[in-house]
Amino acid sequence: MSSFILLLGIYFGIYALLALGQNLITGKTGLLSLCQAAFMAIGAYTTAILLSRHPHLSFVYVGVWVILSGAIFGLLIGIPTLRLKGDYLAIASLGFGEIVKNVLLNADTLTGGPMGISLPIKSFDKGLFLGMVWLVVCLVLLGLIQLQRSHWGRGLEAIREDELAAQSVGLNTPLYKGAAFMIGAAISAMAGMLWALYHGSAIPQTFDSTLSIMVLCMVVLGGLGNYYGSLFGTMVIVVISELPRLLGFSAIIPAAVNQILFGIILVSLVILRQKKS
Amino acid sequence: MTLLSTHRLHKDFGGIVAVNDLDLNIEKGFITGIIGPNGAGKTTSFNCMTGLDVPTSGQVIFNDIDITGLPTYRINRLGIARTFQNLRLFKEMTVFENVRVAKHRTSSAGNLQKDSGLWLEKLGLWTYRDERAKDLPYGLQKRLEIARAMATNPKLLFLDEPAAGLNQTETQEIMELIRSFRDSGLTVVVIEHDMHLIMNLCQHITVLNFGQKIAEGSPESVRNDPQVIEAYLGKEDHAAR
Ligand SMILES: Nc1ncnc2c1ncn2[C@@H]1O[C@H](COP(=O)(O)OP(=O)(O)OP(=O)(O)O)[C@@H](O)[C@H]1O
Ligand SMILES: [Mg+2]
Repeated sequence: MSSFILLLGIYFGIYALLALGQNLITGKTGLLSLCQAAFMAIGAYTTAILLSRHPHLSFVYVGVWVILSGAIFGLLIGIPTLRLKGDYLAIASLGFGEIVKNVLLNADTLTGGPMGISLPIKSFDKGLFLGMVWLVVCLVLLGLIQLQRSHWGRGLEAIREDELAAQSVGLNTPLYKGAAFMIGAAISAMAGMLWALYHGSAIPQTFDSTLSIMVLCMVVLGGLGNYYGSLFGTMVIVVISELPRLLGFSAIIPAAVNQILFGIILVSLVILRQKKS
Repeated sequence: MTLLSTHRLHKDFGGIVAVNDLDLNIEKGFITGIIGPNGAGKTTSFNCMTGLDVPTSGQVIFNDIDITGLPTYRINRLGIARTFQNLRLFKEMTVFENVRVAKHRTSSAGNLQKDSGLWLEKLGLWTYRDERAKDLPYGLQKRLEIARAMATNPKLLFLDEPAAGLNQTETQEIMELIRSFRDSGLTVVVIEHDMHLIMNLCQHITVLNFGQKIAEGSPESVRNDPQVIEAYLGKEDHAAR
């Protein structure tokens, strides 16, 4: 039981990172991107590929590469979509997520195909790992709040409010949006690294688009643009989706129920919010 | 001296010609008015000069630099700022933040806070600094948009219908404001339907109709130009008088 609580705490932290990254991109900058799962996959596979070939690399070193590769892929999806607005960006980013997943499934020599990659590392002490995850969450949160208070953060908000007006006061909006994508993706890649370390493996099925939708759900639930809210939203969704297992119902309730639930939550939140404004 | 000029500026939107071979000369240090009936191409010509629309053909020269088709933020950094016909404030941000975001490039990091405050004070918006832009009364929102544009420290300011929706007192105040900018060396181009404002404020007026320049000159000469009267009143109306 207590080990289950620890597990819940670890999942909570990892998903919180995804939600924070999503909130930077969608809540702060106003870009509806739907590929957090893909960015997470980049981080997980960077970790897995590096560690399976060089088992003695330090985690800090691996972490630097994870952040870099996350940022690069963030930019990759960012650049062609910078000109796309709203719904088009959502569709393009979903497509990007599918591409990443298919590459993972099919580039056997690099990614191990459908079986993924196992890491040659010992499993972690749950308590220790929990501490590590939340250290990362706290550092990311601190960084994001610092960013929010800087001119860059205000620039991102201005872009969300009105991109043309932001341009008209001299903001290089493509640069800002590209940076938001890079940072958001790098944060998600860190989540992927933690995920791979904890499970001792990286397998493609984890990084499905439904995960991206779930993350969006967390952010919308907690309030767009509100980082603490994202933590709250993450907690609610993690508890909902893990509760059946906690209560020993997981055999009775099919996994698809969760997906239906996220769909319902998202739709009702959007309707509620529209009514308010 | 000419600060900005366009040469055969042309913009069409798939069949609709919004701006038709327009030659404009904006004189430095003056307030120039652009008038014309609805749909005459006034806003589109502003958009072409500020990078919001890319001209189909023609050139825009500012300070001897060809700025045709440059992105809006580059044009702003070269010294052109603008307001919009339909307010485009950063609605959820405070009055202070609206100005601070704009002032960032022209103020050093240490002075940004102070300069933004001083600027708000000068424009009479300091009292409202912590209100969200969308919560301001309409007249003050208009004023804030001008304050935001001016915070980028431009050499040339484009105003698209600054008095639309304002009452007489507010219009008077906006006129005073524009005059004070001019007196401190700014060049202003203003689109307005309010003829009282245009005739009292502008040294030079350009009249557009169907994307073309149909008249230009001093307020008096434009007011009495038969083509202008015709464009505004329509042929038959005019004949009937
Ligand atoms: N983005 C666009 N797509 C298609 N047509 C457009 C677009 N923008 C403007 N137009 C058309 O171009 C013409 C000129 O419009 P513009 O907005 O420049 O007129 P205006 O002189 O500013 O009018 P108003 O006084 O009503 O503001 C109009 O016929 C308008 O319908
Ligand atoms: Mg107009």
